[in-house]
Amino acid sequence: MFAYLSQIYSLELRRLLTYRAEFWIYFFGNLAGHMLVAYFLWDAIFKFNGVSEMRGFTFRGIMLYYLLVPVVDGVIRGMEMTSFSREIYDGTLNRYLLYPVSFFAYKIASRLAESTLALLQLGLAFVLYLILVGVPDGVSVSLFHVLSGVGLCLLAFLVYFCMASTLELLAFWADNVWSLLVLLRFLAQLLGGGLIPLVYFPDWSIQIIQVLPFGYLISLPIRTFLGMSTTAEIFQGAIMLVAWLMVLSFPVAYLWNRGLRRYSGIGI
Amino acid sequence: MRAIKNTLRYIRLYYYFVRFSFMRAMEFRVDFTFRIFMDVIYYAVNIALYKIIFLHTDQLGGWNENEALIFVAGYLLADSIYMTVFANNLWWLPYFINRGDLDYYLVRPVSSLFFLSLRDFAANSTINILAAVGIFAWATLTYQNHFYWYQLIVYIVLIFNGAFLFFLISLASLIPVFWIHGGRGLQSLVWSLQRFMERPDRIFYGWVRRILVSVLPFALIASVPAHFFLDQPDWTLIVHISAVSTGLFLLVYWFWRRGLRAYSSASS
Repeated sequence: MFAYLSQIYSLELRRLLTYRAEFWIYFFGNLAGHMLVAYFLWDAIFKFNGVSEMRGFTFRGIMLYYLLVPVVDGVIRGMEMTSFSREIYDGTLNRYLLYPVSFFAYKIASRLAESTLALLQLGLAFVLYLILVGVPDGVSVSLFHVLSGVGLCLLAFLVYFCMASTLELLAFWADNVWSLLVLLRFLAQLLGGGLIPLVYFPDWSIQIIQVLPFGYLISLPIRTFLGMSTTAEIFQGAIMLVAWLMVLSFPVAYLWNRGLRRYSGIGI
Repeated sequence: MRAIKNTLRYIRLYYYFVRFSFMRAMEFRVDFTFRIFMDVIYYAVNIALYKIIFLHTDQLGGWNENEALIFVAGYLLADSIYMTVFANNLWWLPYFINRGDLDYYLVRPVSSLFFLSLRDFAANSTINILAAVGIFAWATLTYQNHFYWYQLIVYIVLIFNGAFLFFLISLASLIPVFWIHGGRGLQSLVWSLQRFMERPDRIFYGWVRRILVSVLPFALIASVPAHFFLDQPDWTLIVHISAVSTGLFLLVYWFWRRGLRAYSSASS
């Protein structure tokens, strides 16, 4: 079983690197665009308010936060969308039913390849920033925090995978589900702290977000990498992610079993 | 006389595109509903982001919250027009080029650029234009400062032009597919650079600002037009936006013709 999965993983890695130029252009272009917008936005806010620190973030600290947003997002979300639903629509789901590994193990192995590349990009971006800009005030990098951050990223990856799978499996019934996946991405970006760190949200909204899985997807892993999360927050976040993983695995299993009964094998 | 006849022919053709798109959209009612949800969430996320930002600052790029809302409503409207009129067409363009399907469009007795850019009207996004118009009307009605009606009309015209500018930038990012023979060109890069359109232009300065109002005119999509409405009407803005729009259109058209020359049908 493990041999099959490692084969799937390495095949996917090779596929992702087929268009290397496009891969790196997108990575650096996306990062540069994202950072430039964040730089000018927060420069305007810090300058207008005449402060050097806002809710625990210095300007350099918040830049490091924004640098990690697209790469952590890449780890948990990957680049591919709508692969399940497309396979359900065109009937190519059949081949997975014949493979000697489960459909979800196959998909997790292939998505993990994307996440691995994103993790490498994350390490590269993180190290480059620390070398070029230095460690910002309020940020403390340690092996414990880096390893905890990687662990939280992987848990967040599984939770997001379950959330996206639940929506993708609706393709057994609905004629198009890509818009639901885009919707999920918008929500994860805002409520996960991808657009603006969660510490800037009003207190009443943070209480709601803490009950939902979104708050643990982007903001918590990044704050952990930056050494801004306490050990208690890291463990609480990990427990919440595991709990959500268990909760979300039920609709995934239910929809998969019901959907397969409906699936004709010739596409919908 | 011949030019009028030709224009009428293209208008009639576009009418058929729209009619056919509506007929097709009615077949996929679930997708229709999902898209409405997706865009409503997109609008909510964007408004929420600015609401959160203004919890921590009174001004952004020289605008207060009320003024920033006019700008946000403007870019949401430009985005909804782009999504309805152009987005579907651009999505399919790289597939047509890579698979050689462009042949079918090149042999038709109409402009290939017209046909491929406007053929697929996203009828299922029209509700979202109404939602964006609703947000725009709400932002305008709650705007507390005095304005002249002609300022509002010019602003709306400029937003339509902004949607067209966004289309030109997106098209320019796809044309390299004619040469690189794979992938989606630089489109994913444009998606990430789209953030520049969603921030007030006056937070940017230096060479970034110069690029945003000329070569990659994201600032001309909604932000600079908003100044015509919010500040004293400055007619040089109109001249500038018109000049950049015309220049970009001519450049993209030239680039498209070069791309067609490099196109080698199914073997591309």
